[in-house]
Order: sequence, then structure tokens, then C-alpha cells
Amino acid sequence: MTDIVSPVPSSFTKTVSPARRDIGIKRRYAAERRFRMYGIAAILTGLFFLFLLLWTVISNGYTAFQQTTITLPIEFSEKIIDPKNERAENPGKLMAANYPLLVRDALIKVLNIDPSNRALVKRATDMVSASARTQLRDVVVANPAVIGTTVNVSLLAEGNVDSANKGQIDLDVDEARRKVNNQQLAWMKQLNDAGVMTKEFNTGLFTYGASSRPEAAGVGVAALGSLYMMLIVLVLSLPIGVAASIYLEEFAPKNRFTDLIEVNINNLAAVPSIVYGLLGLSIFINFAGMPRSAAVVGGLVLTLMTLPTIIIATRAALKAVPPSIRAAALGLGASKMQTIFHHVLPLAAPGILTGTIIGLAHALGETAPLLLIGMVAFVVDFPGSPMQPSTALPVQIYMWANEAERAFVERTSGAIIILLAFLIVMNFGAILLRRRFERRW
Amino acid sequence: MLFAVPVGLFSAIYMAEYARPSVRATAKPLLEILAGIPTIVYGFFALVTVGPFLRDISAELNGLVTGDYTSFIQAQSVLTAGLVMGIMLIPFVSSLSDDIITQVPRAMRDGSLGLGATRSETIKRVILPAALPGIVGALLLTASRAVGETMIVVLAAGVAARLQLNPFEPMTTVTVKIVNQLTGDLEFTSPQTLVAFALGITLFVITLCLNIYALYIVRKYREQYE
Repeated sequence: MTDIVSPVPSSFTKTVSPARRDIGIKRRYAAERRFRMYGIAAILTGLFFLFLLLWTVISNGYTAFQQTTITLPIEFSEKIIDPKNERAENPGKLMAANYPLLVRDALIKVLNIDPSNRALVKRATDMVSASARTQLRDVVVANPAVIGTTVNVSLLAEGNVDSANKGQIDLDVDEARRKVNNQQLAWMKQLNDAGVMTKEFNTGLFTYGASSRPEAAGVGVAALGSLYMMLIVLVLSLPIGVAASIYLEEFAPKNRFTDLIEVNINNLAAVPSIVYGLLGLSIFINFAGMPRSAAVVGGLVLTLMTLPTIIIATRAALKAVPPSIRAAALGLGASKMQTIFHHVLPLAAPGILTGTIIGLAHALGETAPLLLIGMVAFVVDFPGSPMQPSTALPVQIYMWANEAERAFVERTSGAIIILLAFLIVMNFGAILLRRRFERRW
Repeated sequence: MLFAVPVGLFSAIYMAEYARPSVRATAKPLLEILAGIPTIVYGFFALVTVGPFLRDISAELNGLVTGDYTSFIQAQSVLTAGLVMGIMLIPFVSSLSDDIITQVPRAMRDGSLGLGATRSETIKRVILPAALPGIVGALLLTASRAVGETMIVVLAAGVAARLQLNPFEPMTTVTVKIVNQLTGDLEFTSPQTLVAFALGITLFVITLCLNIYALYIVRKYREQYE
């Protein structure tokens, strides 16, 4: 440390005699190269971790965009669905019918299993997701005319079968400790050869809500919740932020009070996000009595979080507009309002937009405050309005990351890919805007 | 922090002093992507990749030294959380220090180079001392960020509330404690919730002090050259 503090290069005094200077230069150039190497190594380390991270996520997650389905000829037999023929007067009967039985019968037929061997039948039906029940119910309720006919329906395969089909389950492990047993593997091969079991693009990942079964879990609800929150954040924080910074930059007198405000805003930007979560919990939920785990509360908390970012960015953008523009507009007789809204603001707009986009991207990826206001809810239905319970994308990732099943690791990575795709698009947009409109005065 | 500071600082120095504009134009946005990735993703990365990797490595090392293949680093440990947090902080350190280093006036650099110092000597003996207050301020800002960081620690460091100094085992932090206290179904006035709020205040005060001090240093330093 001592030689760093000394302002005069000490080697300068040493290099007096020619003989010693030569040795010194060699050593110093070596030090120079070494130092340079450190710099390159540091940057490469950073980039290495960036790629490692992306690679982990993508290699784990790309399979989440595919889903194994089993297409079975389901016989919608009237005997099983509606034995007493009372669906005309009591439509609720259709909701409660024994749909798993239909799946079982179809599987028995396709796989040629002896129906009296219960253990074998049980294993076979385990291969189809338990969500098949609701899937068939929806088919029947939507179109009661299918009863009595045989229709090919693509059912979701169970999570473990799905993983096995994608080659993610180690088949060398002892059968007793494996999630998929040999019998099921043999069936899988049979179904694959028959073209019944296929891998399809996983639209469910984008449309389903939360589920404890990985094959039926998706980010649909979470994405909608995030969208609501982003809208709220945008609508609230952009006008407030821009208005605040215009006042601070153009109108406010420079005194102790505005100085204090400035210091405070800078501090707010660096307050840990979890503290905002506490604030939201106590003010919005406990004091104002807003509904828990609603997108409205999340949006408000995130608004508070992004406000300082937007204010700082906007002030910087306004500051970058040269005073000559203002002077010219004022000199031509424009009022202060006109100067700002007709000349200064349009020139500062790219900077403001960039700041807003970066703030929004930050808010989109924020998890901690949402955990505290109860957004870690198990929400299956789509929220109809921002006042209803919902989750957000990052929270969904957090919940899935805590699940143990292999199939959930894959879904988590899939959800991360979706989230990162959004963020990269937003950030890229911000960079493009900056490049495009960047000008030097 | 031990990990983030050297890496971030050296990349900042390289970017500011050595890198050609084209390298700078590609490497800087790439490093800034690291800053844009949400913390939950880092948490997942720690949970799935770094944690098991450290556990296996420590098992191998232990096996080589003592012949006993049990790992002394657990998958959820302070080390994991710290390492991943370090990765997250690299871009903060590097872009903040980059700004500060480029603010050092050209004349100081030219003077030192003109006297025959090599570039690394110029950096070590002239630019770094001049930029030191600013860099310290930047590091304090980064530190307050690390203290307030939640999601990585929730996923990577575990929830065991033990007071110990061994970084290889699970431990907990203030932020994790808050999350755990408040994510259940509790009455608002129950002692558990109030504990969480007390912890929140503590956290707020700590980071506020760090921030005010850091901003003060950064500001004071800026005024010197303007």
C-alpha cells in the first residue's frame, strides 16, 4: 500500500545509470505485461461467468419448451360418464363423471394389458398426468355430443415419464430407486414406436397456471400478473417521475431543502428492495386495507422502487440539454412552460425513455418485495383484474426452484429463459434508443 | 466481496486504460448484461450449479488429502452465496470504478507518461491514488447492495440461524430472516411480524449509513476535478 500512496514513481529515481536502466526496463515491461494480463483475466472471468450462467439456464431449460403427450383413442362411453342419462336436467353430472376410468380403458386397449391385473393397470395409468381428468372434462363439457363416440385426445404424460422420454432420468440407477420402472419404460418404447407418444411444442408452459404437477404447470398466470404490475408501474411512475424531475431541474430554487430532497432520492435508489416490501406490507395492505397478493399492491411497491431510478435518469437527461436551447426559446418569447414542453422535453425524451425502460426491466425481475406482500400464492386461475390474487414471473421461478422434482428444474429454467428474453429485449431496446438518439452538444 | 472487488476493479482499469474502443464497445455491454439479470436467476444458478459443484470439488479435495470422500462444503453454504453474489457485483464495481477512473484528468496521465513511467506504473502510482476516494465510495455502495441482497441468499445460503464463522456451512442473513418471518399466514401484530419489521429497520439503517457515507465521499471527490 505504501508505494501506491507515494505520488512520485520511485523507479524514476533509480534509473540513473545506463546499465541499471536496462535491467529496470525489462522488469518494468514485464510488470506492465503482467498488469495487462490481470486486466484481461478479470474481464474474461466476468464474461466466463456470464456464459456459464446462460449456458446452465439454457441447457437445463430448452427441454421445457417440449412436452411429451400421449394420444389415445378415448371412447366417451355413455355408461361411464352418464350411466343414468340425467345430463339434460343436471349438467353438473358431467363435471363429476369418472373420467380417469376412460383413460384407463383406453390405455388397457392400446397396451394390451390384462384388466384384472390391478398392479399393472395402476402402473399404466400412472404414466398419464392426473390432469387428464380435467382435460377430458373440458372436452365433454364444451361439446356434450362427443359422448358415445371415440375421439383421439392428446393427453399430457406424467412428469417423470416426460423426463424419461427426454432422456433426463438416469436409466442405470437401480429400478427401486428410479421414478420410472422397467415396465413403464417398455410401454414407453411401445407407445413411441406406435407413434402414440410424441414430443410437441409446449404451449401449456405459456398458458397454464400454477400446479403441483410439473406437466400441467405453466407461467401463464404469472406472466399476466407481471403484465398488470408493469402497466401499473408505467402509468404511475413515468408521469410522477418526469414531473418531479422537471420541477427539481427547471423550477426549484437551489436551497437546503432541494438539496435534501436530492440526497434522499439518491439514497432511495440504493435502499434494499426488501425494505420496500416491508413498506408495502405495512402501508398498502395493513393500513390502506388493500387485498393481499393482488397485482395492484405489487405494482405500487414496484412503482416506489422504480421512481428514484426514473427521476435520476430524467434529471440527467434534462441536464444534458444545453442552456442555449432554453435561452433561445425564452428569447423568442416562449413562456417557461412552453420552453420546457416544446423544446427541452422532446430533446430529453430518449434519455427519459431509456431510464424508464431500464427501471421497468429492473422492476420486472424483482422478487424480494413481492414475497413479502404475499405474492407467493398458489394461483391456478387467471386474474380477471389487478385486484385479484396473482403471482409474478420471478416469484413463480422462486416457487418452482424450491420444488424437488427433476421436471420442475427444467420448468424453472424454461421460465427463466422466458423472463430473460423479456429483459434482454427491453434492455436491448434501451441500448438501441440510446445509440440512435445519442448526440453530443 | 473478496471475489468481486479484484475482478471488477481490474476489468474497470483495463476497460478505461488499455482496451481498444471496439473491445470496449463489445465487452462493456456484455458485462452490463450481468447487472441486468434478476437476482432470482442468480439464486437458481447458485442452487443448481455452483452449490453442487463446490460440494463435489470439496469432496474430491478432501478425498485427496485425507482419503475420506465426504465434502466439507455443504451445497447450501455462505461460500456459495458469497461467490454468486460476487458474480452479480462484478458489473457494479467495474462500471462505477470505470466512471471514476475516466474522470481522472488527462493531464495527470500525460504528466506521468511523459516522465517515462510505463502505463501500469502510471495506473498504480498516479491514477489509482487519485481515484481512490471515488473507488472506496463505489465499493461502499456495492457493499450496501450486497447487504440488502435477498434472493440469492434465500436460495443459496440456507436458513440455519447459527452464529459461526465457518463459511462452508449454511447460515442465514437479515434479509432471509425477514422473508421467513413474513411469508406465512400470520396476524399483523404478532411478535413474529414485529421482529421482521425490527430487522427491516436495522437493515435500512445500516444501508442508509453506508450509502450516505459513500455518496458523501463520491461527491467530495467529484468536486475536486470539476
